[in-house]
Amino acid sequence: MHGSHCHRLFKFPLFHSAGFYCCRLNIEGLLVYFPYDYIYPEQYSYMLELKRTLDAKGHGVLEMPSGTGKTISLLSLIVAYQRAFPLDVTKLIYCSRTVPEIEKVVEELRKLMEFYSKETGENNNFLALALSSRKNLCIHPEVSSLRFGKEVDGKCHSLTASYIRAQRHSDPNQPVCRFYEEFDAVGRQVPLPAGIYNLDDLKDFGRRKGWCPYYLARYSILHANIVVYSYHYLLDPKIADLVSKELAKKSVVVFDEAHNIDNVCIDSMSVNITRRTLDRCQNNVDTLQNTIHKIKETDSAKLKEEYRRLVEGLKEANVARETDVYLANPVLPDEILQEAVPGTIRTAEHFVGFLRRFLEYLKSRLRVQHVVQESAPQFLKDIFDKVCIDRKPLRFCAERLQSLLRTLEIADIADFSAVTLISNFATLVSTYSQGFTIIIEPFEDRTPTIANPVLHFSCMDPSIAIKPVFQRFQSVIITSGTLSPLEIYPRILDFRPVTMASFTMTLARTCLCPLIVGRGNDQVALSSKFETREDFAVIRNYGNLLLEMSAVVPDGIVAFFTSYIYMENIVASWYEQGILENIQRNKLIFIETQDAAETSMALEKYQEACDNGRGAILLSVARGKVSEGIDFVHHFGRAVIMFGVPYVYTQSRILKARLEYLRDQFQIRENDFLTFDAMRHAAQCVGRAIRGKTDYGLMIFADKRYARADKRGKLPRWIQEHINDGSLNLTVDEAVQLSKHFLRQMAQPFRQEDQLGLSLLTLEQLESEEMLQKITQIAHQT
Amino acid sequence: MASHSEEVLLVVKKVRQRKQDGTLYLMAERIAWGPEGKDRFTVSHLYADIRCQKISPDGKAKVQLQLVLHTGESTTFHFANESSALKDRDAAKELLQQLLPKFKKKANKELEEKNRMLQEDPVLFQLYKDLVVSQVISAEEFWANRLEGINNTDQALFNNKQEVGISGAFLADIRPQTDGCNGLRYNLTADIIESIFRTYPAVKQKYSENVPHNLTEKEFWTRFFQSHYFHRDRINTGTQDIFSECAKQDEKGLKSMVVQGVKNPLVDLLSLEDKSLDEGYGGSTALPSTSSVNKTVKESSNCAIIKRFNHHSAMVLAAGSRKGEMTTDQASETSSTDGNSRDSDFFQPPVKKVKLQEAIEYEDLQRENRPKTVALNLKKSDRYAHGPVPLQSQQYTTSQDIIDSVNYIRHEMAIYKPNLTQVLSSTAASSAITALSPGGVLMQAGTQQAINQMVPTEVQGELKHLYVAAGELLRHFWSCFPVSTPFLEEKVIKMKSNLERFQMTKLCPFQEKIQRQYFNTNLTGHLEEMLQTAYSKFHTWQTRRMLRRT
Repeated sequence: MHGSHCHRLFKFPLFHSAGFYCCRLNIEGLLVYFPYDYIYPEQYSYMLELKRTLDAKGHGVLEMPSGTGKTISLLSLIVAYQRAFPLDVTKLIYCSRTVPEIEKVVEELRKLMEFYSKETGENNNFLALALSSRKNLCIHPEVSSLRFGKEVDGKCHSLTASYIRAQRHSDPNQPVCRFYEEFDAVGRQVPLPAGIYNLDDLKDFGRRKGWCPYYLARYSILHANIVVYSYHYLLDPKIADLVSKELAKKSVVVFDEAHNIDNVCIDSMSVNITRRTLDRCQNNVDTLQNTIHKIKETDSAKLKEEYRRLVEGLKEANVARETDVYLANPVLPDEILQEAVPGTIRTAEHFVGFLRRFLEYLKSRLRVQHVVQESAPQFLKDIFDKVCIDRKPLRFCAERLQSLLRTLEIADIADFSAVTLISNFATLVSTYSQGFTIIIEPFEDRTPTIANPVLHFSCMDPSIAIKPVFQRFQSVIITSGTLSPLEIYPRILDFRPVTMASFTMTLARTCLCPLIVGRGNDQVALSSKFETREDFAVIRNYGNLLLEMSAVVPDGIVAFFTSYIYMENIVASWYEQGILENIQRNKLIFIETQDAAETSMALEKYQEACDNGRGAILLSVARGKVSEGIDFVHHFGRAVIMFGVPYVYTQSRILKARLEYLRDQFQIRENDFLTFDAMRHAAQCVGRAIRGKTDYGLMIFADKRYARADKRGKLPRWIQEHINDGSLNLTVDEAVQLSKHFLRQMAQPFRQEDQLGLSLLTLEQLESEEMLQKITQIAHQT
Repeated sequence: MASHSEEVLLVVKKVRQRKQDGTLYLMAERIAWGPEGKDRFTVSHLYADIRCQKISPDGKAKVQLQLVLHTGESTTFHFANESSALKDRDAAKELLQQLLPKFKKKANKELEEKNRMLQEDPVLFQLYKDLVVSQVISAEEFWANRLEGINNTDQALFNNKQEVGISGAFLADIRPQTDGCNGLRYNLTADIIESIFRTYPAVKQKYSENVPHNLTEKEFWTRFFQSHYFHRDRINTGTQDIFSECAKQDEKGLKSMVVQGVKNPLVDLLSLEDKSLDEGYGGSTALPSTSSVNKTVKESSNCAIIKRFNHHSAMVLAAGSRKGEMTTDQASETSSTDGNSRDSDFFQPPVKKVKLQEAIEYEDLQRENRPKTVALNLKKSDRYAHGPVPLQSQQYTTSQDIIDSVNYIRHEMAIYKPNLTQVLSSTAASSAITALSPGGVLMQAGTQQAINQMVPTEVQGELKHLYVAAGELLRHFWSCFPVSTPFLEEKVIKMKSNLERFQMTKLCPFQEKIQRQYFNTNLTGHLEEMLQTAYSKFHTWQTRRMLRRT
């Protein structure tokens, strides 16, 4: 011990000032300010891996349990790196999933920066800000009072579009947004002063200056050191092209909570067309036609001017102002053709005629009696054969429509969403020949008698949308609490990481208790699999499990079901059997509904009931909004029960197509992917209850299939390592006994001293040889 | 007894009690009955003493009303007026129904307090058994000067007492029983009715609108249980049902709650997503349920169940916290109804800030700055965690308090100096102790032997109880002196007879038993001496009184 102590003094003479407490760390020679007195070993380990990734200028996949301070570790290290090597890393782009997450990140950053200025005594000129949609940033009294994001966007556009503002010169009564006018006049001259700006801070600043916070933020991200925004700004080509186009290449991109990133990629490039879409599109086209007629009579010069521009192939972006590019090309930047719009759709009338033809063709395709599945080239061939539409004009469809809408000076673009959707589809289908499929279903599987044709244009390859990100930015970090099995992400996203690591949670006490309940007290095997789904014995036993748990678990219990329909059926049959009534004796019951507002209210009431000591149960759905966005810290979730394995609905044709694609392109077996997908959602659900080492909670997997190695093995390591062989196939009673024991132990006081040296380190402990040895084991390299 | 005037709420003539005709009076605080032709009441019960009332079934020939008291006694009144017996009884019942709950709380509170005292104090319990159960004195007399303290000191506590919440399962607790012929019987208590009213104000409103003008109470509740309203899975169909309006009101309430939105931005699912995909984009799973139009009956009934559960839980929760949060609730309501979203925008940040700060805090990563605590030192922590736990109410002191008091005592001890001028010398003290020990100079008069050598333990125990009981009675007796008021006069006479009764029923049998078994010992001599002293005091007082009167 003595030896190592002296050794330490020699080894790290530089960074010592604050004695025992961690605040200046030495991560392989990089001075990292860490705004806490202590540090978790895994945080140190995480920073180590992160630094190696940045050093190699490569990409990384890092899994660290939620609640172990992942965000602050990331921020501390990257900020330190930016300060140490300002030329190598110029910007951090931090992407998260939800608005509250984004705001949390900024608050943590604020904490870090305050610590910096306290420690160094100087005011660092760091600029960090959050960016969100207009709905969250608008301060215009009328516009911001609108409820839906789309309405806000549309209204904003109708006040700020360049032709609207041009009209104001001739007609002063034309309403415009004074905040944007003010920003446009002076806002760009002086950059946003250094500091940390959360969404509310931006609004405050905007109100003070009278500037539009949204455009201010969009302008400022170009020179900010740190940008925090949501995935869509990078992954959805329609938005990324507008917002993130000019961000520096020497940026580090972090995708936090990235366990679902493949679905985000896929969603951003998939299109669904129903009969209703087509009807609305028909109306849009008619309106376009009429407007063109009108303009032709009054102001034909405008149309001629447009035609001239299209002939010359001028890129719209050069001409248009920032407020106009409300609609962007749905395809990725490197796929956009740099040539002039083809002659067949250059005049406005021709283009509208072209749209009509395309629309009629789509209508005829929807008039099917049986399911059709085809590839993009097949579709293109068919459309050429039937209505003589060529591939090339289709590719320009989206861009041509943009130009037309602008020329016609259509203020409320939200009304034209249907025709926009169709033209985006046209551009997508003619651009990508690989990785997409077209499925036309005449009716829904559940209601075969009711005709409801849908055309799915479905992206099957998540790597398409994320590819530009990997190509463009020097380091991309994919991280989450649940990313197991790690190796699957590089495969489905098609990139080569330099580091892949999964970290465990070092614990002074085992604060999570995963139990697999495989049998009822009557030995009936519990499972949500299709064959036993309607089985009353299983449903009864599930009810019994919840009832018994409601009697022993304090405060809040969250139960997840595999799907909404399954939950509805179970709730109904529990109601008939009187199980819910008995549960009500112990706790109040709240249930997630398909209405988000209603569920929000139920959630708040649930928390209220947990707060005031009455205790409550929340019945919820895996893959639902609650399971993806809401944390159940401390008493809000002392137990999570996962009823069944949350497999995706496997009968869907889109899924089948995707599975086929994965098998053919990435050599991932169907079953492996399905299990992986089910287990990551199960892990997400149960992981919601644990947020930190002082927290504790039961994780009950109520399905015997969880005991199998292929399922269990796909859980994150930090959960897996606490499942012992004894708790693989418990009955309800056994689980209750174990839970009682666990909860009593956990309810004992847990002090900092209990953790120190084990799961919580001082600087001194951190730098001992022994601990450094241990820390290397925390990261599980794959 | 009815000396000071009381407000008489209801007078019912021709009511028989114990086969005697008379008149029933319902007054502000009690119910009383007096036989015909006399101007005093032979039966009088405070409402607080009444546990419940029972009525005879409708078909019976005799129309009766029974009052059951907390003590277990009961009094039955027979309404004998041929023409209006039923009406009379119902009038009395209705009034009682309104009056009893008002007194119930107080009575319950007192009863609870008495119960608690008896449970916590075994000596008192024994005394209670000796004196009250064996009917030496009445329960009222027993408690007369014990409860005073409670009622006075706890008044403040009583006033701001926490209101009892509502069980989440109160509807489930109304278990219907089959009555054998294809019907269901629901037993409703005042508690359940109150729970229903508090949770569903709409039902209460309906009740006050319809009962008793349109419906009798019984009809009202019958309809309630038949309505879809009670059965959550039934879908609202009939419009003639009076509860369909309640359902609509609930729906409205639910909607307004939903529209109002949530205060905590972290649970607001609507604003969770930054930018949702536009309509028409997205993968298969995100497809909006286009089939909502053609839902099957079963599906929509399932939906109804889920909705109702959420609503029920929310209402129960609200009923529990309604009192305390009334003011704040109103405040927030007004601000959200009159203002647009900008208004709420201004008032949101504090909640949001706090919640965000809470969410990013890692308490264990920071140095602890809290007050020091004392760790509980358990030898067998397992036993602590799993052993049986006695049900006791305890007053907890914080660890800081304990540390402070220990420090204080330590400090006191350090500076302690005995005050030696005021104490006996050690020789004097030791001689006094010997003199007072058995066999010492001052102990000659009593029995020479220590009592534990003479009689077995059970006799000792019995003697101890007798002493305690006698002591209690004597305390009551002596506390009457000086006898200055007519009330005390009455009491001293009663206490004297109590003492005599005690001697007759308790002491004498014990004495005889002792003499039969251990003939030559006189264990009760001292007790008798004490009683004699009391009697002689009483005699002197009585003769003096007689003299004064004459």
